[in-house]
Amino acid sequence: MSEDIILKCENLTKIYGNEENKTIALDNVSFNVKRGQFISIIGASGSGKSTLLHLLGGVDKPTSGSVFINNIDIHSLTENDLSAFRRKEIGLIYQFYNLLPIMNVKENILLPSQLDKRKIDEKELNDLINVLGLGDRVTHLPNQLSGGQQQRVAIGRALINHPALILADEPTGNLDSKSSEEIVELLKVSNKKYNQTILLVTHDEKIAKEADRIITIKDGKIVKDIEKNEE
Amino acid sequence: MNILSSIAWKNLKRNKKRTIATSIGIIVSVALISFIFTLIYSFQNSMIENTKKSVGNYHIHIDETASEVATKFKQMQKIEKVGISQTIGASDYETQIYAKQGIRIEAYDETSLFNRDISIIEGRLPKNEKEILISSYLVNNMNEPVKIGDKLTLDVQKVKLTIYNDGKDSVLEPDGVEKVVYTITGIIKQTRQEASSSNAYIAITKLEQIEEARPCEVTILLKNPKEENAFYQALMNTNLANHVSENSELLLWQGATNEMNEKSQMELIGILSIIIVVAITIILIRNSFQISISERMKEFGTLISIGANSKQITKIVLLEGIIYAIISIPIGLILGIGIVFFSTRGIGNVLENIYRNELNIQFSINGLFVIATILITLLSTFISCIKPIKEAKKASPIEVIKQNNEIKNKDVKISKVKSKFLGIEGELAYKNIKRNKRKYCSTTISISIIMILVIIVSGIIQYVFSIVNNTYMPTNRNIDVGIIYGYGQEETSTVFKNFDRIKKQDSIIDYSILVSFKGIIKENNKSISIYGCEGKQYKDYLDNLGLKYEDTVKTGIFISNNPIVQEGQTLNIIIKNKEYEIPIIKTSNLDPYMQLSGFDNPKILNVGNYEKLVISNDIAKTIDIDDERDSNVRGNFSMDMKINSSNPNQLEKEILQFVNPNKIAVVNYTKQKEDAQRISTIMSIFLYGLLLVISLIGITNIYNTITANMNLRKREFEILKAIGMSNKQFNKMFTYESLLYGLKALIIGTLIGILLNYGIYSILKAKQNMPYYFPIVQIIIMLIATIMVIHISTKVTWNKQELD
Ligand SMILES: Nc1ncnc2c1ncn2[C@@H]1O[C@H](COP(=O)(O)OP(=O)(O)OP(=O)(O)O)[C@@H](O)[C@H]1O
Ligand SMILES: [Mg+2]
Repeated sequence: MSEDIILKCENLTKIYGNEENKTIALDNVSFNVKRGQFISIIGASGSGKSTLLHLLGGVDKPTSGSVFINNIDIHSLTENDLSAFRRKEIGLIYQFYNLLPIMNVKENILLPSQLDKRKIDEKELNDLINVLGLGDRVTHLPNQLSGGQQQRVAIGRALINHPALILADEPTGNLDSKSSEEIVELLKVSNKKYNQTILLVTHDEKIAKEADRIITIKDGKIVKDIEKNEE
Repeated sequence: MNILSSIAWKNLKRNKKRTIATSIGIIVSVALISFIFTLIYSFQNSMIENTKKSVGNYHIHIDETASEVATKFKQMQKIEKVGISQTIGASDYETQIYAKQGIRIEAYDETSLFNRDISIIEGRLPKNEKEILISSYLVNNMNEPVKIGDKLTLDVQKVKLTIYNDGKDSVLEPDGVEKVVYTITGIIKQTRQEASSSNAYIAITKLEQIEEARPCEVTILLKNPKEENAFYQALMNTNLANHVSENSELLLWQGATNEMNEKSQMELIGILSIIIVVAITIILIRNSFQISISERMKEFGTLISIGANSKQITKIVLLEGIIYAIISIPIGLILGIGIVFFSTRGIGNVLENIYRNELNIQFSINGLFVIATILITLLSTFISCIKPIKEAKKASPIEVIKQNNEIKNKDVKISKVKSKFLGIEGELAYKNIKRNKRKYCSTTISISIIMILVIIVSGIIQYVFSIVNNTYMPTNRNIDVGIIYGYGQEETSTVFKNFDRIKKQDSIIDYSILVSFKGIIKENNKSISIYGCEGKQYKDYLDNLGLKYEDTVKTGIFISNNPIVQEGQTLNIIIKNKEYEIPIIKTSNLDPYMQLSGFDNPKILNVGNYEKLVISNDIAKTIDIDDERDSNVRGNFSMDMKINSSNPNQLEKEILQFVNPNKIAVVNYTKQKEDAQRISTIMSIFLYGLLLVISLIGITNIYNTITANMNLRKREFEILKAIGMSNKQFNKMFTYESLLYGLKALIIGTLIGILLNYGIYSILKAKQNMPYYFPIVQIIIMLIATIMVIHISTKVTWNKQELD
């Protein structure tokens, strides 16, 4: 059985700061991810989880090492190609939702596909909005929504282009346990439904355990990598 | 709508406060630039119109010329209008003014009637050569009152012009007497011609037929004023040279003078002003964009993180810029032009009541300026977009992801002493300013710019005044008394006696006498110009040389580039075959002529190849001066007294009691002074109005920037409030803040302003000497006003935020 590898990173290293005052945030990290996997990444604060996700999402550049997504070395792409790639292949979700305050729910969700000049399938959009539980909020502005709702908008925005890879950095960090569960449920649904690969950074043990695979990071290194036995 | 324009549009629509602040910033700039353009254009046109009325609508004036010369001009391509007038002759006519012995009849052709300084108080223009206009001055001094329609019977002693010396010289000769019955059709204001005539009134009739023998006066209006200089120079190389003069006032306002270098000075001022205004507009508009740039960085970061590329970001910023321009340009134009329109209307009405049509203020607009304003705004908008685009492209998604604000600087360290001294409010203020340099940058620029503008404009206003005063009138005198040259002219000794008597009159403030004549240096047989001097200008001259009047009573100053005698030696001069020994107290190579003959801002030049001698009149009176009586070659001899009197009209009458008005000319400059005064009034209204409105617009801009900044910091204030900062502490913090950035801005602005002002002065001074002006009063007023505006803006905005 030839394994379908969507993400491969090799010797990823990220060093912040200068000579005398440097932080090694990621230290020679390598791992592969199979298509359709749901992975959670855990580790103490400051261990390098966010740094790793930024490098995988192409929003930051590694000091050394490379990231392959669908066999493309994303850090060798030009700025423009990388933007396009990010638009199509990667969905980013953050702890702070980072919605555009000037756009309403629907507009925020649609943003990536519109930037991509993609035609919108209204039915699909409505389905997504309903799945997100935002059916009665489409014309609200972000500051008129609760934290959980805002995060769902951000998720919707990450899903709209059906990216192969979703990178979520503590998406539930600001939410109560009920909202958190809903969000994770949502991610799991889209993981199953669209066979999307998900990397989820979390501090929450319970959430981490929902994943197919748990990677633990400490001081910029992978110290544990447990894969659940699939049936 | 595509997504990019939709993002741009929504950005503006849903951040109303920010949009309004930025728009106001741009509107203010557009208003400022269109205001300045329109006002200056209106000012220029008003001055042109007023000058056409008070001096005449022509560029070149030629007097005492032959009619064949006059008619030749009519065929010239470059010329728009040729006005011809002829002197018919003069008639004795007794009035209450003894010196005015008669009425001279001048016949004006159609063009002259409409384009010279005829302004009708009552009645109409003459339609034939039996109808005349007389001045209100004559009417007021007549022995019996007259009214329009009355007949005036005059025995006109007619004149004819005889030309000799190949056209170089001419003389007026009697040509019979004719009794003419004139009908008075109109009463006009005194013309310049009449005002400068010492012994006659002037009545104007219609020129129906040019009489070849009569002397002609020609006025020439060129199609293009810029060609005047070349045309004038060409005329100066002909036989007409002695008879040609320019309408330097009109040329000044049409931007084409060459006399005394005003042309280049005015043009320089114009060019410098445009450069400064355009630069300031660009800075102001950029500044308005800068207000919100840090806020927008967050949005751009978000967009980049979800995959927007730099082209898309660029488009969004440009689209926003274009929307801003589309909103702001029309409003700014209407505002700027509207202010000029309504203020010229209003002030025009007031002036009309005061001066009854003698002063004219008009509103003029030029499509070119509107287009220039639009282009400059678009250009500024474009330039303003460059930096945000650059920064937006660099906007880091990481910063956004981490919810970092724009605070990128390292921690601001503050010393313990400072911290103790400032207190927590001061410390906050200090750190705020150090960390958010960019936010305060826009406020600093707004404040600096107003100081710069006010200082520069104040300076320019003074320089314009000084240039205009030079053109319109020598300001330091109001009566000239001089000998009339020609056959049978007054004896030199009599003129000296007249001068001595005038000196003793009550209303004399100061006077200067200059007697100039020629002699021959015995040693080398070379000709030498001799100036006999007395009075103020002479004293000033001696002061400059470090001499005292007493030293020069019996001595002379020898001006030469290589003097044949040295200080302490004696120069021997031969005049009318008599020899005079003049001990030389000083030698110099600088030509004293301009200073001694009373120019306001004399140019001190090297004397060149000439030799000159300056002596006191004490010596001059002992010399049998060669007054060139009976000579055809004039110009080497003159006797002039220039007087500054506290009551020139009275003095004129007194002088005319004892001088022979046929031999001594008394010219009263009161009318010209009044003209100049009026010109000065309009200039003050326009230029100080300009300064006032610039200040107001600048202050609006400061208010806008401060308000916008505080609104952007609302969240920060809320946090501080939440952790328990009291209102008093807030106020204290604001006070410290405004002190920190306000003082810095004021100092920077004042220094740059003074520097630029001095730069402009240096450039202008290179052309012609003028006094340096340091606008200390304006600086102080603006300093106080700005500090108040900063304080009030902060207070008002804070109170508003409290209410929300
Ligand atoms: N811009 C930066 N400059 C310097 N050091 C940085 C920077 N960003 C992160 N670091 C450092 O890199 C290390 C890893 O940071 P990272 O944000 O990846 O941690 P994390 O695992 O996401 O922690 P948390 O669970 O608290 O979010 C930390 O020690 C952090 O201090
Ligand atoms: Mg993190």
